[in-house]
Amino acid sequence: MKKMRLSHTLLNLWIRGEVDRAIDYYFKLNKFEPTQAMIEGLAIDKAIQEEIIGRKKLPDFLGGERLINPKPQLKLEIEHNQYFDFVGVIDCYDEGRIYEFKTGALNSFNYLTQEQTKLYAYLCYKSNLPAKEIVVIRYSQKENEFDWSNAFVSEKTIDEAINFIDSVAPEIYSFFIEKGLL
Amino acid sequence: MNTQIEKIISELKEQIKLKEEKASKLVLEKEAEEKLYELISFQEWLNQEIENLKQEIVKKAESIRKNFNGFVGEKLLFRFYRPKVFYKISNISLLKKEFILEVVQKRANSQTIKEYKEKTGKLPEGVVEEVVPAKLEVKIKAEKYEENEAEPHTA
Repeated sequence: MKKMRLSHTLLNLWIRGEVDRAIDYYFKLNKFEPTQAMIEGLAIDKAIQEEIIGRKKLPDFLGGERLINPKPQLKLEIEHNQYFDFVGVIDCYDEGRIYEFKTGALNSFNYLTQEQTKLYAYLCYKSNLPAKEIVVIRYSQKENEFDWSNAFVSEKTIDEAINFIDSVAPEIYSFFIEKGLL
Repeated sequence: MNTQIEKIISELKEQIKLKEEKASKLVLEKEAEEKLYELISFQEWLNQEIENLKQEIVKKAESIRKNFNGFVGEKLLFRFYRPKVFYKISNISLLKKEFILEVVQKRANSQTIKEYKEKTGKLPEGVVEEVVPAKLEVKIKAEKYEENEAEPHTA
């Protein structure tokens, strides 16, 4: 049986109905030129990582918080079930706290109510990494200001992540099989 | 939930139910007004307490990091909307043109639509009907004077 390697991006593209982009993304056929916002976002990500690795803290433009044992860009891969593996890269994991850094117009609360961070909590849970809290920090380049929102991880968080995967992934799987892509 | 608190809340709910029963006779019995007043006073007190609590939550959150935006819980969503600044024209004759944005506003013409509906029994194409639902209001009278009532002359 062929297995699929899922990620939040793939699931998200699928639920938005962007089938072609989902296929391109899955097979790494990225035909899209990065936008100015994406280029700026990548530069900010780089600055955050450098600060975390070099000084064990968040950059001042994100509040400058001290970290204990940070693991930036933590890539985790788990087996969801016999059909699917799931992979994700956590912006920073620090002693049970999952940090997700965002840039752009949406505020941190909007990001936190989406599925991404729940999926990361699920990744931690399946990887036997304690996950107690999720903190989303959004930096607005336009206003040169940040805002943050948080949530505590519970069994419900994990259940919601599993439900999200189980409600979207089988449809992707069937489509890929039907089209001979797997 | 703490069983003692559960017990208190359960008793409180019973008391409120009893008061509600008496208060429902507002226009029939004189004593009912006092019961309704007690219930509304309690509601106002509780609203104020929760308002204070919300402020305290933000204060504690901002002591961790500034610019708190929200919390997502299992049963609650807590969101902090920051103040936004808007500008209003106070004296258009003093305002330079560059600070004025002219907007063409198009609204449904209620009068002609109503007449059309009465005549044809249907709405014109491109119009939907929205109804503001009936509403009941009760509030505590201001201590000294009725709201919107002119202050009496003093000798």
